Amino acid sequence: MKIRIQGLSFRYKRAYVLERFNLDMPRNRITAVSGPSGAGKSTLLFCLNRLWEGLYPGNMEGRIRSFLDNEWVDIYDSKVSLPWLRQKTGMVFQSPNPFPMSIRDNLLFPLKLAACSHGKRTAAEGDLFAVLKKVYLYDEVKERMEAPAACLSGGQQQRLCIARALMANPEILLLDEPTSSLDPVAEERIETLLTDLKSECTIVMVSHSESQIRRVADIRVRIHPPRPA
Amino acid sequence: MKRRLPLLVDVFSFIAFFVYTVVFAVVILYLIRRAGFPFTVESVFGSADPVRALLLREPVFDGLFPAISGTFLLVVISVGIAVPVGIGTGVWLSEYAKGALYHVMTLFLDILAGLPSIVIGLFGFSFILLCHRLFPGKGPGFSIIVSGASLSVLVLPYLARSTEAALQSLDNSVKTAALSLGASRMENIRYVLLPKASPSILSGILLSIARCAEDTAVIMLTGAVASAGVPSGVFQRFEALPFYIFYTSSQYTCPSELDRAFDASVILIFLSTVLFGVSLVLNKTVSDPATEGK
Repeated sequence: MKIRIQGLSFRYKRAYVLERFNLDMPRNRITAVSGPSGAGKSTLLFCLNRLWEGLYPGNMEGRIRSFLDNEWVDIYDSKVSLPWLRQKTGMVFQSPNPFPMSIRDNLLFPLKLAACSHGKRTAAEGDLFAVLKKVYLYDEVKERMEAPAACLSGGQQQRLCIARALMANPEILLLDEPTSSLDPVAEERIETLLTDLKSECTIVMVSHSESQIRRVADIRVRIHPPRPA
Repeated sequence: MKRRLPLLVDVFSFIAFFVYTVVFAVVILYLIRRAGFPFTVESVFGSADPVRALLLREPVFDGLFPAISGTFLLVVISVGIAVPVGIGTGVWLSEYAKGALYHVMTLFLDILAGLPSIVIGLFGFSFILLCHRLFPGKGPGFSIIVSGASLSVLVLPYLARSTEAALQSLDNSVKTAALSLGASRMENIRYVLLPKASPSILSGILLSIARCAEDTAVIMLTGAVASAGVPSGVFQRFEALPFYIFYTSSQYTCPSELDRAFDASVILIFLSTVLFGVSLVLNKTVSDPATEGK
């Protein structure tokens, strides 16, 4: 197993979004989470890297453990460093969100952060190109690494965002409806990419598309909004 | 009636736009004609040698140069104070302020934004009087630094609120992207949020510059005079274009003096137009190409 969720409840003020939720996610598999709007799919992802903290006035109960750096870590333990957790648990969002900088700087951004928190920064040109090849973006951007990332198409931007997340060598990759804003061709490329990536990291993906889930998911989880009290 | 309403709104909008444009064009053309555009060197430097005047080696007594340089220095001081404070306040409002404190601060800024500039001028005037009482002969008197500081209070709410609005208008996924990679809140603000919101923030800064350049009420109570020459320091009295226009047009003794006021007003309009032009260009060049046209 890679992630163990036990008795997870999450509420915004008094309204529960997730209630007593349990799930084990196996290593190097794609777990697809689906469900109606408001069922807590994105909240579940935000709980897995503690991204909700400081952003939303929510309240979480329960326990989440991830197998990171060869040991089980209670990710809500006060000893866990947030930058480390989020570097180990990468995330890609619904709409592409490249940073306002060049393609190269977008890719180097996670390393820049790692340099700030751990004092190390190691990225050779080859590392960048290897990640770009992994997301099938190398041929499209190799000649314009200094161009603003915003100049890329939507599908390219999303693949760049996946590449950026991969630069930190995450063990878990969270994807919040990664293809919902893309055309069918870009969607197909991302799906192929995800299937390739699962050999390197555990993928948790939220999707509304049942056909997509059938195509890429190893494990399907459907969640429902808790009944109002 | 319901069917005709959209047509009436269209017609009214067109007439309003047309009338406004014509009036604006007529006023501008009249000002330019009166000012005798383009300007002569004499209108700016008077009888002084332009090069020596620019190097501050010769005083200008009968040209607009002291007012132009005073306006420039005033804008530099006021914007220099207001920009860091205003952007900092905007960032704090958008990213850190919560609950009652947020509402109190935004209410305070909105009230400040609604204050007439003469009240801000009175604030600066009172500050000078207070300094005189507390530190006789030592505190800052009527000077360009007090005018600049007072003007910075005037534009601070615009800068703070425009920065806040620019940051809040960013997509939620943009706001959380860097955090999801392990960035701290400060790193997120520094590397992602501020650069992403910079076009709107720059527009706010340029509008503030224009506001500082054209305000009269504040400076006439805090340090601007009709003839002070180019200020040799920040604690000196100074001349400024808007005050020059006000003073000359209300005290002129012959038509040629009034023409000077028109010269100054056209320079001020030219300055504002340049600033708005720069604002538009910056907006186009700095803005994110991916979001343009969407």
